[in-house]
Amino acid sequence: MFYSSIGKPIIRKDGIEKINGSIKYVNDYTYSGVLYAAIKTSVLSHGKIKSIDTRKASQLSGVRAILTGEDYPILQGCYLKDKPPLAVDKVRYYGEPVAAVVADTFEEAAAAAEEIKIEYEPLPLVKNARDASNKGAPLLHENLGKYSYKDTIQPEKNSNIANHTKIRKGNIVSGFENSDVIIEASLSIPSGDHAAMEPRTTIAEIRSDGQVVIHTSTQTPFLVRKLLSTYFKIPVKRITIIAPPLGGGFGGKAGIQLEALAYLLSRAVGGRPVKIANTREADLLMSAGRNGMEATIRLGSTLEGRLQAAELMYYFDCGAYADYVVKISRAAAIACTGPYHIPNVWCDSLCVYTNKPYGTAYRGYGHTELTFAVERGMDILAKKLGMDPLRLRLINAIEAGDTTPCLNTMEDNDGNLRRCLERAADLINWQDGGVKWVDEYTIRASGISALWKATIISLNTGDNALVSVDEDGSVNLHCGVMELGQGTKTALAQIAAEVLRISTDNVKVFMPVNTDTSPYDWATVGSRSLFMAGKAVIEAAEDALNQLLDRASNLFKLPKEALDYGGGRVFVKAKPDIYIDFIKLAGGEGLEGNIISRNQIIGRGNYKMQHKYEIDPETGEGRATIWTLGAEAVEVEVNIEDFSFKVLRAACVMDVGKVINPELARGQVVGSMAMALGMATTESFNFNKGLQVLNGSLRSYKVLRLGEEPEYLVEFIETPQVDGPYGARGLGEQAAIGIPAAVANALSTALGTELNRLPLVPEALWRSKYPMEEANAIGITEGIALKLK
Amino acid sequence: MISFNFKYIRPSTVEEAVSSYIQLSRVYKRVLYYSGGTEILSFARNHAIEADVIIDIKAIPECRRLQHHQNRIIYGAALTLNEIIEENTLPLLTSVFKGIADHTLRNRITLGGNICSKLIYREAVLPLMLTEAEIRIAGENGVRREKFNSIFDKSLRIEKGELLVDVSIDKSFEGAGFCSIRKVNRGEVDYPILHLEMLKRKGLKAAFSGVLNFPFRSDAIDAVLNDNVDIDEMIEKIMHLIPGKIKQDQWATWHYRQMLLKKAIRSAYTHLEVR
Repeated sequence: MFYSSIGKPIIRKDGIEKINGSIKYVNDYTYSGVLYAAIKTSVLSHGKIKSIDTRKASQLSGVRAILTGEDYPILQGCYLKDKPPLAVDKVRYYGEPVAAVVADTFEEAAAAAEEIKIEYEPLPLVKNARDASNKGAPLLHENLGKYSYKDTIQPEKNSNIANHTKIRKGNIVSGFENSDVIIEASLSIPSGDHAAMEPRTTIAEIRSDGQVVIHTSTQTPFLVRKLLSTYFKIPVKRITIIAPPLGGGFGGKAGIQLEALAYLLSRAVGGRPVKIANTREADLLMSAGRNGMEATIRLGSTLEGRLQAAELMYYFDCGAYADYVVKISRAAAIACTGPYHIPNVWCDSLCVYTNKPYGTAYRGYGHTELTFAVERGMDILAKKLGMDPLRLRLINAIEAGDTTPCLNTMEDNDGNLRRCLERAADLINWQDGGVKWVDEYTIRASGISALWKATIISLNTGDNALVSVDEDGSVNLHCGVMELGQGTKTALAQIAAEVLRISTDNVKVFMPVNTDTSPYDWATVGSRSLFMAGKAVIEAAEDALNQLLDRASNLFKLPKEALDYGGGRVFVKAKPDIYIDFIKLAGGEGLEGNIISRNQIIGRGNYKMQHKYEIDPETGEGRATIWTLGAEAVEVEVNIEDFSFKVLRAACVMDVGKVINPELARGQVVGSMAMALGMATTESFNFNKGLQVLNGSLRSYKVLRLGEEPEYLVEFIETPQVDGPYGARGLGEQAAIGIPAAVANALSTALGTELNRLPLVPEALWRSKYPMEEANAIGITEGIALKLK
Repeated sequence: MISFNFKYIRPSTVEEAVSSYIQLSRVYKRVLYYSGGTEILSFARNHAIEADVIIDIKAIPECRRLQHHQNRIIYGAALTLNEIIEENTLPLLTSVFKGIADHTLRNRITLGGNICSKLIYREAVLPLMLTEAEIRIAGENGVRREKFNSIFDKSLRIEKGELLVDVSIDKSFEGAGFCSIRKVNRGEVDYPILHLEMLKRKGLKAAFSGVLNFPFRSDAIDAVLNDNVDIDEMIEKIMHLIPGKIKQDQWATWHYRQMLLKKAIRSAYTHLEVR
């Protein structure tokens, strides 16, 4: 009779509405009087704005207001305030918003935007992060030294460096002296986009009573409220953020996106609601995407394959504005070595401005990039040592007692990496990492990558939950976590059901979040919702349960210890046939037929981040947080005639502590793997010499298609996280981390070359065999970019 | 979104379509024939095309027929690629059309639209080049019939206002051996960075797309293919006969295209010679 939900494949709470298409996203919200915005964007990647002529546009039919950057030159940014909602004085990337039109219809707004004439004076282009970090490089942000920022990052004034995080562990010089074998590699990952199915949309209005009401596609409604309050000096109580579920976030809807501009536009038209709905092209080019990265690494080991030293130089290319990438570069420093025990580490992780579309948080948060660098290095090292790459990883796999780059000691409950590596290898029939000829033109090979991810969460972040019991004994679970497709709210319902020993069917959750009515949630980012909100939900459900038990105890005149519960009732331990239903305890139905009106039972729960995370600015020494460990392996088949290839099988084995819902967990893992396969094999922005994006639509920006995917093999190892809800830890992003490295390793093995650049298109494979001159290798080609409005 | 306003006309005969075009051209600057619309819609979205009048030819029965007539098969210009694929009248046509875009798009893309595409690929012309196809074009003075190869040079050379009505191919090509080799930047669905069609009937013939900024075939290349020389020498000779500099763009360098082209010629040639 006792229900248990944990570990069961409960069907997701939003499943039916999503499948039949009736779920409402922001753009589905319509209300009367709404006006529409169209945005005029930059055609240059770096240029001084000489003039903006809006005269003709403002006379067109339906036009209500036109805004330019000078109208409200505030600077926005979560960690570093560097970005105006509309460009001021200069533009820094192709697609940057320069002016915005509000009109009665979107068509009228778009027509007017086309008539805005902007004159630019071209400025020298900053094309790649490595060059951009050099002294003397043209500056994107001359005033970087004057921008305000949070002290967890370290911008360098009079440079393009928006953050510089250092790790100095052990003694790097003696580390390399003690190494018998040293390898070096340079790597690169291009910038790209999240390509979430739902383009970003915001509707802002200032109601006649002064309340600012914003419907928006965001992962962070409470952060949007806080930032708008700060930027525009509006009291928090005067801002309401309503956030319906998202059609995919992947980090791209965290922080401020369209909200500040939408608010300004509403203000410009007397507070009437204004909708900005990104077109697909605007979502790819104008709004934030994924950062690029360049790296140079050196690894040193003994002849036996014990790693002694790692020197790691990471250049995170954030594009024109830093957004979350300053923190991504920091997160990558904290995890810089991958999950290996290395006594001597020297890492400089930079976030560097270039004249490319700007990046923000993206599934994996810098870990995919550092893992690509380190894991390629591990394979190069294994080759030099003449060792099976799997064995090299097993020798150096981090374990309890080892220290991280920040000198935190790993503990037993952090998970079992060796088992993950061995299982992942088994799943794809790893055979010494060799190659197998299928026929005259076809080779198969395997590649493997270990992975780890730290949940980089600031202290004082937290989550809250309320559990209210209705008159039918069912439960409402209120929390501020955003539903992005990850299914966290379903897992949270399972946790509440588990505590109360009721069916998940009797737990209701609400997908939209409203900052006025939902309990505070820090942000739905960083694979931490299940962990943090899960803890709050346990506490809230236990609080509700205790109130139920108290009432039963009063009724039965028995101490609580003499009572037990399950199946929606409280009963006497010694005599289970003496019981009372939750319904009655909740006050919905009176004892023996009499209606008893009672106060509603409302349970409260909170969780505050207790894993402190601060590091020393000079050495990186600090206290760590929660790590998830795992391994991924792939098998590829390459045609050596035309260098086309397929990923046949992809395995992921992670130590997730505890699987709350196996179907949701597998969905998250497979989704991450597919996304990372896209990053590894097809996705990149392609630029012409003017750094204009040539593939700014889904016709040409190539995400993985259905049918191009491998067979997915997913397994979980469960070493409980001592402080996690039922032992669980995060798994939302982790499976993205090792895939690009594993694919590059497999293909490098197949071809006997070193593939250190993404994406791994067939031509890149061919080129690794037949190197060519620089002009063709840098990926900048002639081409005509999309005409922007 | 399409940010310009336009007049939409849906004539039911070829004559009506052509006369509408001529009349409206006197008043409006930009008049377009429209069938599947995949290109017009996506180009309009990107401001790469604008129109004052759009004449939809899908309601014209002549443009919509797939008919066997004496020894020829007639394909209306407004047939979708999938309609032609499903009928599977000529294996060569089916094979080429299946490579164009994806299934959903092929439900819209039409034969005429692909032949008259503004993009450089126009892969639907490859089988027409190899099968002595004929086309019918309607204009102010009625309908004329032309050999496809005499009127297609890089693009279809027809006059402003003329309408491609249909295409016809001799049934005897049904049994001809052919080899399709199509390479893309990555994956299955994409524009080709190389598309070679080679047909064997009274000797070999080849047609190419994705290599230059236009699809092409040439008598000189076909002559070399049938010259019985050493295969390496043949490939080198063909390379010199490519009518332009091999393309380089964001999807492939010219080096890579050239490598694929050489290999494609070799494997198609070997495949068809052995048969």
